[in-house]
Amino acid sequence: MPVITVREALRQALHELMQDERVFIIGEDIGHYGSTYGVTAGFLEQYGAERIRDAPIAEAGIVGLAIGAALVGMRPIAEIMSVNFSLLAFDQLINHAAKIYSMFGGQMHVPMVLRTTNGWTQLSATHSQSFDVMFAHVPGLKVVAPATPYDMKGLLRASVADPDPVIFIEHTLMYTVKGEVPDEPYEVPIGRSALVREGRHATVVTYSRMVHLSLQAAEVLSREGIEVEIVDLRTLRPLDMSLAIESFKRTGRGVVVTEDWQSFGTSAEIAARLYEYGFDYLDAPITRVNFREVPMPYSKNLELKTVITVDRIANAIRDALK
Amino acid sequence: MTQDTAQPVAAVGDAPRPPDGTDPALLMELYRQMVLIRRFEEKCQEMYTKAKIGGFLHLYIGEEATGVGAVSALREGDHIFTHYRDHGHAIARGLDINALMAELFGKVTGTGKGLGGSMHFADASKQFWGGYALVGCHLLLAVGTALGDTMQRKPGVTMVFFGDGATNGGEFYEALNFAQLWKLPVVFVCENNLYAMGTPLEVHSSVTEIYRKAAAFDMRAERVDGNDVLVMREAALRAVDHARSGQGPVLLEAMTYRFRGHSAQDVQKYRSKEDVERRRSGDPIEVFRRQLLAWGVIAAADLRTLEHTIDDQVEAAVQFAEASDEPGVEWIRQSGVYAAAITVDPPIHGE
Amino acid sequence: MPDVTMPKMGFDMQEGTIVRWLRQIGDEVRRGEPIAEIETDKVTIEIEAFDSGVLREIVVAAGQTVPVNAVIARLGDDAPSPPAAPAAAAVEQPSSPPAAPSVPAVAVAPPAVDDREVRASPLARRIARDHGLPLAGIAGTGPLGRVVRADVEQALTARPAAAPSAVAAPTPAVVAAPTPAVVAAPTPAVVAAPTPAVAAPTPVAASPRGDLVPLTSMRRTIARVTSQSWQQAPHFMLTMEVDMGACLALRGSINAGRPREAQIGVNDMIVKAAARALRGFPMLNASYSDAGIELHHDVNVSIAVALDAGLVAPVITGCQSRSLGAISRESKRLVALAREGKLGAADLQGGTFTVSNLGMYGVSEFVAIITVPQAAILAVGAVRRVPAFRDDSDEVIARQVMNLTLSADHRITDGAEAARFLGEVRRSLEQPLELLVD
Repeated sequence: MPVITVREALRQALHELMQDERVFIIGEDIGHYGSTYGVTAGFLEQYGAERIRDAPIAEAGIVGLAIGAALVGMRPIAEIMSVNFSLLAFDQLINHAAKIYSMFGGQMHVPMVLRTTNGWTQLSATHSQSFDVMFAHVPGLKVVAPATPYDMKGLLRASVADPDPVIFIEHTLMYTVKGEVPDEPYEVPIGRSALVREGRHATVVTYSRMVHLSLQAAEVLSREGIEVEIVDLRTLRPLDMSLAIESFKRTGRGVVVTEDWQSFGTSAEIAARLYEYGFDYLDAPITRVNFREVPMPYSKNLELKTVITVDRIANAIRDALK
Repeated sequence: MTQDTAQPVAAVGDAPRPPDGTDPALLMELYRQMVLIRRFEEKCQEMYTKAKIGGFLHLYIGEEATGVGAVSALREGDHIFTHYRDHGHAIARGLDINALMAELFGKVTGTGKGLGGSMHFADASKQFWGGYALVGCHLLLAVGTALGDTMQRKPGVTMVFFGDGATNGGEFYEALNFAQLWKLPVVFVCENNLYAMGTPLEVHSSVTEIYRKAAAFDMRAERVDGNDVLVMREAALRAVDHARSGQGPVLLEAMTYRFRGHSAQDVQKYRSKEDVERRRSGDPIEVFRRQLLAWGVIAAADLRTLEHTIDDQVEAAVQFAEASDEPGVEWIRQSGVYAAAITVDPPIHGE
Repeated sequence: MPDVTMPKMGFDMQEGTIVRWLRQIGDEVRRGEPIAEIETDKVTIEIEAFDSGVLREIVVAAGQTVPVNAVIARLGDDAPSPPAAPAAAAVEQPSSPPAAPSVPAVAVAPPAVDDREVRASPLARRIARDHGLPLAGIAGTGPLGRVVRADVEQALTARPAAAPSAVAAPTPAVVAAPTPAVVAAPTPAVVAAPTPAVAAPTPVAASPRGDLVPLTSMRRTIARVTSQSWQQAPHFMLTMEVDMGACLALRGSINAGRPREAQIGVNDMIVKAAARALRGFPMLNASYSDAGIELHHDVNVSIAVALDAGLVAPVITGCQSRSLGAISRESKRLVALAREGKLGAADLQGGTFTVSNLGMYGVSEFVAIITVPQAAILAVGAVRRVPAFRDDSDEVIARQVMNLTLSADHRITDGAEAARFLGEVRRSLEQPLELLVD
């Protein structure tokens, strides 16, 4: 099977999806500029300006238009290059995209996808945030955050095929991550987690880029005789905790790694579910690894102390095993 | 004074005859819709005080000519988006008043199965995409459907209603820019009733002639007397034709006036009783009624018959709503929130 | 307000006496928790609360006797009001003392350590609960001394006894001899790697009068099972002297030439003899319940094995069809497992009769406590060389004799039947070739 990057996997998926006339892409700097992260580079030339719509810098508009177009039969893929900018579009996502199906009694639905990115690298306070939890908090939205090229391709296809609004979360530091990806089209179902590593001592529950760091931490610990099991949630809403809870029942020890602030964050919900369903199997408090709770500092040394490292994950697992 | 800049109340009301070529049946239909909206909402007010209807109740009473005139310019395949004061547009678009009253009663036979309520009437089969309750934010959805139609080479025009208060937020400007930038077939209908909730126009907007805001986008715009249903209809027809012809969007500023408070609990400190009474004397329905009689379109006795029929229909809607069932609990499961099958609900405690 | 009434603790109980109240007024009581100790004409027993609540009123004081179903206490619904009145009330009634319990003050013994007070992980609690293992006494190795799964699992492999259900089902696992000698048995090498708390009980509290050693789970189980037996099963005891000469001679000739690990023990022959005899005396291979006496088809003989920390009684199942050699092999296997702390639950369940042997400690005879719901236990003393008359003559000769004492449950069997059974055991041992026949 070919080994390609996340970027290439997304490009493959988008090329496949563009074969459907209903699909179009709307976002900032996706066309003339050549795409910030190179995902849609060359698309404007190939598919034309009508379907590769360079939008004004107006995030509410990008999302609002996508919702409206979805109502009348299109399959819009809206792109907001950084999740930080999605704050400008939250009203559209939460009051419209998430509500239209149920609020109107199921008469209409919103098959749109919003592609956006988490990430950081000395971008400081307003460009290094993660709002996964804010999306995942809202019934009516679906939220996927894949980790591997395989899942990126399969879940993007599933997201566009889905009749409901899907927030598709990428990560700026993952575009060069490589993995095996079949050439042909396929779907990875929304709402299914995956067991990515087996182990008997502790269960690490995570998603997106933290899957890769957790795998590295697992290798470090393996040399110490500690074998951790890692569950990649892949989708945050609807949240599939079945594998995580199953694993937790075997290990009795849980570590939740999510790249956001801890207080009221995604890790809080994940840990709560583990406590709720796994209480009688709990052999130690669940530990969590998250951003330190500060606006992201610019200075490199402080930034590296704020974000999650392999060492911090490994230490948290050791703590959980005490 | 804001009022002075508005069109004189019922300016066309003194015209000696209807516009040339107007079909009497159409005139009667416009009148029927206006009266139906009025009677329906008066009944809503009654049912609200009897606690049959909950939540907010924003009445359109006084503004009927705007909605009826504008919607009459649309045809099948066109789209409507509106705001939370949505009863009038829904009735003008021909939504079933039984289903509307049932929606207000929170019954499963409502347009939204009782999930939306007064602010969220919708009927996808009539491309009436619904009432939205975040001021100005639904304008972008309307631009989106226009984009979707255009890309699918469909001839539809999207009409979107909003108030004067909606023209100060960013979404208004984003929507106008997108629509004009991409020459999308949108008719923006600003119902300028002079108050953003309870804040007077000159207090909330730097430009009180709302139609002039379109100038920033080189967009065609027009201010019209929204209290004259025929004037409103004519302006809307011009705007719809323009949009449908591919020349881009139009902003219509319809001058109108709301006779009731913003919502049921509004004590209306922001305007005087005298002012409201003066406006009521020019009630668009009364003015139109006099015109129809004066023009000999219909006899007084026939008008009364029509009005009684409408009263009966509204009463029947109440009975339909009363007799209907409440929605089932499946709507508060995840399966009621998503169009795709969702089988796993988050944990629920305390039941 | 739910009433607590004098419970009927047996079919013929008419009245009961409150020995002492285990909860004081104002104490929270949970359903199923002991609330008082009562005495009937047969037993002294703790009674449970059938409702949860706060003990509001003690109607019958300790020492008083009342008929069955009489109200003895009342429970309230809510938590006790705080003893101190709010500030405002205190101003109005400055001299009003805080509400005091209306019962005479009773010297309260320090409460036993409640499992809920032990710091333990939910998983550890669940495993312990599933196995009926008290958490108190297990040394926790988690942070802040938390008992974690590994600690419970280690304690389980080291402990002797099975779940509390052992009492209800005919699967007793623990048997106790009334002599402290068993516990203090000078066999330090026999316990293999139990948890530190079990192997070396360290005092947790010291007073001028002595040290307090926490109860190990094995100790707790022994205490519970023996108390229950002693209180519930009316024991009667018969002792019979057996001439072991022929038996020992036969054993000698069997063992001659056999490797040491395959040699037959005296105890094996006693187990075999008892098993043979039980086939003819079903009432001694039975269990008592209020519903009736259950006669067991299988003869499963529990053999008491002394350990440093207490004792266990693994079960040789199917003794009715096991040869002497098979019994001996199984016995050796179980004893070895017991001493390594590796007995499984299956090894400890299903006993229908027990043989307990203190002969090796020089005990000539003793009375053992029945492992309820078994019907009887056979206590085996040392083989002693005694002077005796040969047959009917006056000639004094040396004989090797051994005392067997049978404790039997009078609810199931009676003296004459037990005596005939014991005689049958003796006959087999004195004519030991029978032990080889089947």
